[in-house]
Parts: sequence; structure tokens; C-alpha cells
Amino acid sequence: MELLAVKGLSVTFPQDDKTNRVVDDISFSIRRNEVIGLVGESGSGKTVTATAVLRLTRQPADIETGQILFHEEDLLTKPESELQAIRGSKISMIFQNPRSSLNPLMKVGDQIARAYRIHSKYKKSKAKSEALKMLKLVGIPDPEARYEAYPHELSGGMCQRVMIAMALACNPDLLIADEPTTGLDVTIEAQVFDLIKELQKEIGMSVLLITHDLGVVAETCDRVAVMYGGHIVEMAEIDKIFREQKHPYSKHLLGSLLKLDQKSNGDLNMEEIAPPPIDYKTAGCRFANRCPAAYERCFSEKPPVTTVAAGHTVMCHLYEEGNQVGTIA
Amino acid sequence: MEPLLEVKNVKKWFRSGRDTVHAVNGISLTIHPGEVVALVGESGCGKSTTSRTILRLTDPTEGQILYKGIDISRMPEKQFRAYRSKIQMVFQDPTMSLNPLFTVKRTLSEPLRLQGIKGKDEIESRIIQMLKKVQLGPEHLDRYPRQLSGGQRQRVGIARALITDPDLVILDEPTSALDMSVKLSVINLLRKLQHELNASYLLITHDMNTVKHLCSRVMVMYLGRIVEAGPVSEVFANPKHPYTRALLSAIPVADPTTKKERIRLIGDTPSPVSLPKGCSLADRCPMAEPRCKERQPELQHLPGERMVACHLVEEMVSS
Amino acid sequence: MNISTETAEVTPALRNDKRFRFTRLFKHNVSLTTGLILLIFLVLVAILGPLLTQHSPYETSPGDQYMAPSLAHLFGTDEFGRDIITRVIHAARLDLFIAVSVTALAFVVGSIVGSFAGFYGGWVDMVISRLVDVLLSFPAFILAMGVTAMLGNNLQNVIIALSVAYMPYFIRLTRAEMLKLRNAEFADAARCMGTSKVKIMLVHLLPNAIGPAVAQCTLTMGWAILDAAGLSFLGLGIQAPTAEWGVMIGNGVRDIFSGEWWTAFFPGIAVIVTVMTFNLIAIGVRQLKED
Repeated sequence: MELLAVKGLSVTFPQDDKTNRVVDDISFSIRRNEVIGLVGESGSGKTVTATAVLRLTRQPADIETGQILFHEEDLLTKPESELQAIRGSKISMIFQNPRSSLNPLMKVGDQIARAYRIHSKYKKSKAKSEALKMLKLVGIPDPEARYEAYPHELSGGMCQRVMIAMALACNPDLLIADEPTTGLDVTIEAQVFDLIKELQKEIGMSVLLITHDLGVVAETCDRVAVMYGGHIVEMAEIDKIFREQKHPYSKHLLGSLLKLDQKSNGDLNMEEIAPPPIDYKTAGCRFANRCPAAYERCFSEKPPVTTVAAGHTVMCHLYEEGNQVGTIA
Repeated sequence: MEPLLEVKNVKKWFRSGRDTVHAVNGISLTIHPGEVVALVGESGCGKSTTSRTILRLTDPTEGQILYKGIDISRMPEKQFRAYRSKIQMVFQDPTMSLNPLFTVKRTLSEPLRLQGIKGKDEIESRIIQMLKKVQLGPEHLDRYPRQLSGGQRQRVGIARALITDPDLVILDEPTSALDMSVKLSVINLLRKLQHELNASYLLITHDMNTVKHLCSRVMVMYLGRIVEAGPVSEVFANPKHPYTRALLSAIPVADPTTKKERIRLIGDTPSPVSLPKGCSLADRCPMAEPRCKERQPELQHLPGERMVACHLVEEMVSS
Repeated sequence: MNISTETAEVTPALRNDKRFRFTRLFKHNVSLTTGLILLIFLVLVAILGPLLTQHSPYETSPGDQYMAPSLAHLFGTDEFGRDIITRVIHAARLDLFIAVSVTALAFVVGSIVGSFAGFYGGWVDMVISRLVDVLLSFPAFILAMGVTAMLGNNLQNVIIALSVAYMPYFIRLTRAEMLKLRNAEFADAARCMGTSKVKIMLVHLLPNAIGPAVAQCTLTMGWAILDAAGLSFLGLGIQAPTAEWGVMIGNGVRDIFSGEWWTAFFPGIAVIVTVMTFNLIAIGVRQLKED
């Protein structure tokens, strides 16, 4: 059953006199108890998509069209007050920079307890004991002492754990994690992802993970959506993306990863594919001018989203039904 | 062969209010001409401070730094200026390391001018030559950093470091601010230039993939000390020190079918203000024994030019 | 997508964007355009005005004392029968000259001193910062009064006094920027090349640190006009019979009570318009930076 369904979402961003569409007509869904990865390089629109789900897109970005169905109710038509009740209780979000997302003047323990008091209406003492439990759950050593600490007294990894504890405080149905380990060390990064995965299984929530690291995706996600220039160009189960990726951009992304992953001294030479400029406009496919397999049609007509196998969709002319060109190297 | 650079027991302590931060606690390393060595570790392990002492951007508290046998660690700045062009650095964030108000041409002509090259034509032709080597063209000469992409900026940073024909280039996380495909071509470029110019590289990074593709030897740092060193292929295939093992096992593998066992460290890196008495990893190490907290392990030589600082390995070797 | 980095790439490009149009500037930034138009007007008056007036600012005409504004004398005449519009126009040159030189002196010296404080830190910073604190503990105008009283009141000393009074603001602004910049990677890069410290400070860092101080300039111009006039009004600055707005207001004030309001009124308007011009530009520049 679908927990969240995003349908035809577009987000625009004004620049001078023009409006640029940074997220362009994307649709995807998240089932219960599932980890979805949203991957793409910088400028692909993945963070905007994530913030749009909670209607937290920063000014002057503007959600133009679309539906965001959560438990079959459209979040985009809800009044702000109802949305506020959903944020942090049904859907939680953890951000890139944990330290700046915490209140510097408040004890970290109290910040978690506050989440309980607001969303679960717990009494003070009950909220504190629950917060302590949560600190323990996210693997913070000596939780009683850390409860009294201020964010600046904790390391980046610890702050991110506190953020996760806060996000999970009210048993959300969906956790949105936007590059939750940027700036953290690899060993800490591994701890954070292991923790998210463990907790996800334990309390049975869904996770939308935004990242540019395909290694993390391979280890954490069930399904992946690949974004390029504001489109989801391909979406499939994790094995399919890594083994039978169809879209030329996915091939490029995975190709560069494979090259990096191979034994040393291999040839690393490959074309750099930059994201399209923010104001890039075309009638055709946004990837066409960088695509090794592009043909005339790609420049003149926007490719439709085609289902190539169960649960595997591609946005590319090469895989349209009845298209014979559909094989590329 | 005479070593190009020898770092001997360098320590660097900072004052921070009433505390002393022990950033580097006695590290020694040797780099030979034409060698590409990596210094890896996580943030705060002292790898960047080590590189800054070699470049004399900060002075070591203790220890010696020998460049071709000459101690440069306490040389007055004026005298050291003669060595500057020989030891160069490529910085992590190309956006921060290029002066936003300088064109590419101005950025690249400064090191040449400081070397005493005066002729306008000579400077320009050398810049164009260098740009070609880093796969940029004369059309980039008059651009400002903001008019370049991230990859192009890092190429300018590399050109600036290499234009004076240095013997040693310190690469401080040269790829960590770049997107994947750009990262690949920058690694490729650095490798190609190393073959062409035969300079030595000291790569400072936490990205094991870059190490694998660029370096022959690796040193792993933890809390201001080297805990393991050796040839890259051997250290990666068979890491000895528990920290190295944890570090390597933490790197996500881009293959959904392999589910590998992760060696987990407990908690966080201790603060470099009050160093533990014994092994610096003892509090986090899953294999720690009582003696690990008592005595600090020395860096021991192992067969195959490998070195490890761990009590447990000492026993492995002696038994 | 990271919105913040993308917008950061867009804004600086505006400066040499070929599509940069005045119509858009006018539509979006009314303060700046109005200010600039007024400034052009003021500068034209200062440069060309004296060539167009029929009278001399010092030409007395005993028969024409205290004539109310009329077609012959648009702003009227003063106690010596001097034509006020002529004097106001001639004074524009002097007052703008004072404003520009005061600001230039305060800006140049202040930014360099501030750079040293921020870049070198330590005792250099200590000494400079304490001095700035001392200077800032006096209101700028009182400080300028003290300096002119000490040095003697002539044009040169008025300029020195006012620039000393405004210098602390420039020192503080540049020092703060320099503190942020001195650990910039490009400064380290320059050091690695063998660039000397002073050169790193002046050539690499100062141009990057100067932005806020430049913005402060327009504001300072307005203050300088006002305070220079204030000093003359109190008899501590430029002396009569020089054609200067402050002097004219000072002399004209007593005429107000006997009904001859125009002798002080028109130079007063000139001061107000000029100060407003610079303040509008200052507001406009700030708005430009926020956009």
C-alpha cells in the first residue's frame, strides 16, 4: 500500500524576469516500510523535491502544480495549521547540517522532550524519560549526561544522532533524510546509516533518502529514483538500477562509479556531465545535448515515462513502446 | 635514493583558551622523489595540520622537516621563500582557494612573477602551456572563478600549483568538493600530470577511492599519530590495525548484492585536548584489552615495508 | 538541489551581465535611481553652475539688501545685498569638495588601518581597536568640534577633523571583513607561492574586504555635508564671508526672526537635498546587495 504518492509535482524558481522549473512534473510513490533513494548530482532538484513534500521549499521557490498524497490526503491543499501537525509527527525530516538545525540555546535532551510534549502531549517527566530512552536508542553513550549538553558541546556525529532521535520521537510514518551525513566522517557515516536502517526495521517506517552517494544507496535503499535536471529519469528496484539501468544518464552515473570502484590504475577517463544550467529550456529531453545516444527526436519532443518492466520506469525515447532504436551500448 | 622529504617526529600543539589541542603528536614520514603517498584519516586526525607544517603555513611545536636533507622547519620566512616554488599545494575547495577578483591569467602569473620571470610574453606562453596540460584553453585566460565550473576551477588550482615545476605537491582533499564524473577526470588528470612531470605527491584525504587510484603508499592517521602504513594494495587487501579495518569496512560498496560485515567503532573520536594515556583508539576499539589503556603502542615494522601501531599486532608478529 | 549555491552563482554575475538594463534597475530600485539622478544634478550644478550665474557670490550691493525672492533674485538677497542663489550654487562646489575629500580620506586611511588590525591581529589589533573605541565614545560631531578647536578653523582642518571623526567606522568594517578573510584558502595559496604578508593583505585580501566600506562611503558623504555645515554654523569651521551652506545658514538664522526667512531657508534646502541624495544612494546600494 502506498504511504506517499507524489503526482506531477513541479517547483519553480524565479530568476530575474524568468521562471525556471527546477523540479519538472515528477511522480513517484513510497510504500510502507520501504527505503527510497533519491540520487542525482548537485543541481538535479533532489533537495527541492524533498522539501516540497513537506511544503518547506524556501522562498522564492514555488510549488507550481502537483499533488502530494499522504495517507491519500493531498498535503498541498491542506491549511498550514494541519500541515504543522503532520510535520514532525507523521513525517519527520533530518537535514544536511545537524548543528545548524538544532537550537543552540537549548539542551539537546530538552529539544527531544519538547517533540514529545508537542506531538504526543506528554507530561514533563514522561517526556524526559522518553527522550532519554530515545537518546539511548540512537546509540549516544551516557545519555543522562548528554541530555544536559548543548549542541556546541557535541560532535557532528552526535548532533546528527540527536536530530535523528528528535525526528523519530513520535514514531513518524515517513522519515525524509536529506544528505544526513554530509560533513561527517566515514566511520560515523556508516554508524548513522546503520542506525537509520535498524530503526526503520524496528519501528516500521518508510524513509526517503536524498544522497549523491551511490554506495550509500546500494547499502541502504530498496528502490531508487535517479534525478537529472529536475526530472526523475529512471526509477527501479535497487538491483535493477545497479545491473540493468536503462537511461543513458543512469548508465553514465553508474559507469563513473564502477570505474572508481574497480581495481587501481584502471582508466578513469570519461566525459564530465555537468547538470544543465538552471535556466536551461528545451522542447525535448533535458539530457539530449549531453547524451551519447541522442537522436533528432530527443531534441524536439519531451520523452514520456515508459514502464519497461514491473516497477521499472524510464523517461527516455529509446525505450518507448514500439521503438526499435532501444538498444544502446 | 636520497629522500625528497623527511618529516621527523613532528608535533603541533595549539593553544585554545586554557586548553592545549594536541593536533599532531609525533609523526614521522619519508617521501622519495617521484613517489605518490597518501595520508588518510578522518576530520581532526591532524592530517591537514601535518601538511600545513610542511608548507610552513604553521610552525611545528617540535620536530624536524628535511627537504633534500635541509631542515626547513625553522628557516626564516625570507630564506624559505626560495623553496616555496618547489613545495606546492592544491586545495580542497576550488571556490575558496582562488581569489574571486583575479582572472585565471592573473592567478597563474603571480607564481611566475615571484620566481623572477619578468617577460610578459614568456609568462603568457607558460600559462597557456600549463592550461593546456590541465585541459583548459586560452579562452579561459580572462575568466573569473565564478565564470568557471567546479571542475574547471580545480584545474586552475592544479595549474597554479604545478606551474613552477615543484618537486612536491601536497594535494589536500583535491576531489572531495566535486561531483562524481568531475572527480574521476580530476583524479585521472592528476595521475597523468604526475607521470609527465615526475613530481612527488602527498595526498591528504579521507576518500579511499582516490587513494586507490592515485597512490602507491598509504599512511593512516588517527588522533595525531600514524597507526598504520604500507603499500596501498596490501593495506587495502589486508588491513592490520583495528582502526584501518573499521575505516575500510565503513566505505559503502556500490553493489547491492554484497552484504559485508562492518567493523564498528564505538562512539566518537576523543577530543585532542586531553589525549588518552594508552592507545588513542582504546576507548572505541572492539578488540581493546586492559593493557591498551595503559601503554601507548609503538609503530612496529612488519614484513613487506608495512608498519602498525597496535599491541595486538605486536604479539602476532612476535609469536 | 542546493538553492543557496545556485543563487550565489547568479547574483555576482549580474554585475557584468550584458542584459543588465537600466529600465529594470529603475523599476526595482527606486531609491538608487532617484539618488543617482539627484547626484548627477548636484554635480552638474557644482561644475557648471558658477559659469551660468550673473552675479559673483561676493559682490555686495548696498541698495539691494534683504530683497525677497523675485525674478531678478530667485532666492532673494542677504544683509549685504549678495545674490543668494549665486552663493548657494557656488557653495555646492565647496561643500561637495569637502564631502568627497573627507570621505576619501576616512575611507583610504580607515580601510588600510582596519586591514592591518584584522590581518595581523595580536597587539596591532589591540592598539587599533582600543583607539577606535576611544574615538567612538565621542559623538562624531563633538569629536570634529574638538579637533577644529585644537587645530584652528580653516578648510584643511575641517576636512581632517571630519575624516578623523568618521574613520573609526571604516576601520571597524574593514577589520571585521579582514578577520573573516585572513584564513581564506586563497590567502594560504598566495603564501605558498611566496607572496609577502603585506602584499597578501593589500593585493589579495583588501580588495575582497572593501565592499562594506565602499557602501559606507555614500552614507559618510551625507554626514560630512551635514556636519561641515554644522561646524560652520557654530563658527568652528569655514568662516564668513566664504560661500558655504553652513556659514549662510548660520548668518541667516537671526534674519528669520525679523521676517527675512529666505537667507537661511535656501541653503538649508540645499543641505537637505544633498544629504538626502547620498542617503537614497546608500539605501539603494544596500537594497542592491540584498537582492
